[in-house]
Amino acid sequence: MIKKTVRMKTDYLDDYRLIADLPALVFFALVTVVFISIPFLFSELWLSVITHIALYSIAVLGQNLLIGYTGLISFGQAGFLAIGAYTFAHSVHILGFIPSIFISGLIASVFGVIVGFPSLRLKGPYLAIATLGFSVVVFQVLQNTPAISGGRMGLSVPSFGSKAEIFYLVLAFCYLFYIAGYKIVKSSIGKSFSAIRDSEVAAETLGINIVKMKLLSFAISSFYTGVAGALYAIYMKYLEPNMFFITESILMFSAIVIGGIGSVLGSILGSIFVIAVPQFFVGMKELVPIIFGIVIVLVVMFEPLGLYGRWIKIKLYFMNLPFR
Amino acid sequence: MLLVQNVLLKFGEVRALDDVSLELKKGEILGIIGPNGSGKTSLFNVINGIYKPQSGKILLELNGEKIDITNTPTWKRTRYGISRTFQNIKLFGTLPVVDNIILGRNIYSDSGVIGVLKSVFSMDKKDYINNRKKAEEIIDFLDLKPYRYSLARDLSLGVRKKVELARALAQDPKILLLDEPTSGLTYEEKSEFLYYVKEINEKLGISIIVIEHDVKVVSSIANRVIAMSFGKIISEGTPQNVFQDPKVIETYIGTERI
Ligand SMILES: Nc1ncnc2c1ncn2[C@@H]1O[C@H](COP(=O)(O)OP(=O)(O)O)[C@@H](O)[C@H]1O
Ligand SMILES: [Mg+2]
Repeated sequence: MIKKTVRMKTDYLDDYRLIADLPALVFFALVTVVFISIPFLFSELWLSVITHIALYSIAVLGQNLLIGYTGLISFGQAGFLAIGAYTFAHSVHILGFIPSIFISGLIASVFGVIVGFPSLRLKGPYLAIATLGFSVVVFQVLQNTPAISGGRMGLSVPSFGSKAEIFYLVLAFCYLFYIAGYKIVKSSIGKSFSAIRDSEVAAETLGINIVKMKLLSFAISSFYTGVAGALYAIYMKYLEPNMFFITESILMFSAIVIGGIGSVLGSILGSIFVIAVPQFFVGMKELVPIIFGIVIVLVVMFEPLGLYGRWIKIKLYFMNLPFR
Repeated sequence: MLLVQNVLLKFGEVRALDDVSLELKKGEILGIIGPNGSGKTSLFNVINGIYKPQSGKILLELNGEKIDITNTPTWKRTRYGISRTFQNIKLFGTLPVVDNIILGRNIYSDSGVIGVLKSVFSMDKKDYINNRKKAEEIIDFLDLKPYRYSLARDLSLGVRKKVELARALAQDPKILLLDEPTSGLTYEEKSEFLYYVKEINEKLGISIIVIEHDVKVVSSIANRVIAMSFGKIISEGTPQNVFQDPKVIETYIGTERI
């Protein structure tokens, strides 16, 4: 419906391409120019906040593939983030920055597959509890294993460069992972994920191997989260177990719900929300969870598609403006 | 084509299928009738692999070869050419019609890590075009063009049934299982649907088993009919013979008019 009001489709490939026409290309180029100018436009504090949002949104997109698209409610996020971050902090000394980021993703995705096994048997709240358990275990292991976590002193991470350099590194990964995310979502794999969410029986009848696809979804999502964890380590320059307490899982889940379940763009909007909002309440940190709680309730009640759904409605409103 | 041999399926004490044997011959339309709860849908679920029978066998005859699929998982049976629709329509509600139908083509795309890498590096373009073309052909055939980009959950019952048929056809099946395809449809929708079923059978050469309550419908499309009651096959033959069988008339008395 939405697509038809925009313009007539000329070609099946329009549904395949990420950038289907000239206006979209111009928009994409403009957005890129804006992103590249961010270090020149914002103060150091806000550059830092934006970098955090950007790296966080990679993890949120990954988890949205699992939770939003495949429909597997999971709270393993804190665990995968931690595995990514600590893998990076240790491997960077041997492999260097860029390879370590990818290795962190890979190791996290191995754990993703292992954690995914219960998902084949457990459903709904039971899976949520099992994956939350995983995050608790990772946290406990970090707290009790100084060899990994650096003990009471924490673990320091070699400096990648200036704040602007770190921002550009994160931005490059954002582009890479968001383009890949869009491609996956539009591909037959992504559609299979949504099919599993909407009806497992029908999906299986169409020849989708549910077991394989659920594990694949866990692998992809934890790969994303592991990479985000590595970028987080670079960004923070320092790691301690407390940064990966299970509340991180809940925060990321909030980002997905607020931004938009099963929406790529919503993953960015949700990340902006959960990272930026606390910045406005620095003096009243206690209020933040309450605000998130209220917003989640409102979203679930009035806008199940989250900020992304709201955005679509606003966009449609303006596109149809002359006719109203 | 398809052989069901002495299948027993029990739910606790209920014998949903009690020593059921039947054969679907190549190119035919086999009708299945029977009162509610007589085991018709269970039969499809066993053929399809959603239910595992306690005993008995499901065999496929492809290219002169007999393949035992009794223990084959559902998703693999699809690859042998079995496809179906559901009595209580199971579409992917949050996806547009065109994606629902393209999903019927997923066995012709790569899955797993290779599929992910191919999509990320745009190497799945050819597959996409092929699958999309096939989906569009079916959309044209079933006259679904106006609904291409509508979400499946927003459609009327009649259109949803057609989309489900389209999705099943997209698999290029050899055997099509239709579970009460015309129940709840208006007279016009019914005759349209039956027209398509006949076309699919005659033009595409797909063998069909259709569960159907409406006697007129069954008589008009089925080459052969099987009547079930309490999990057992009670009569089998041409539509005329089965509908005149006293056993069939007896089970239908009070439930439906013949
Ligand atoms: N999943 C199930 N669990 C328990 N009993 C079932 C299940 N599926 C079917 N049955 C039982 O099997 C019998 C046949 O059901 P079904 O195959 O749906 O009949 P029909 O399609 O002919 O109306 C019924 O008694 C039904 O209650
Ligand atoms: Mg039934």
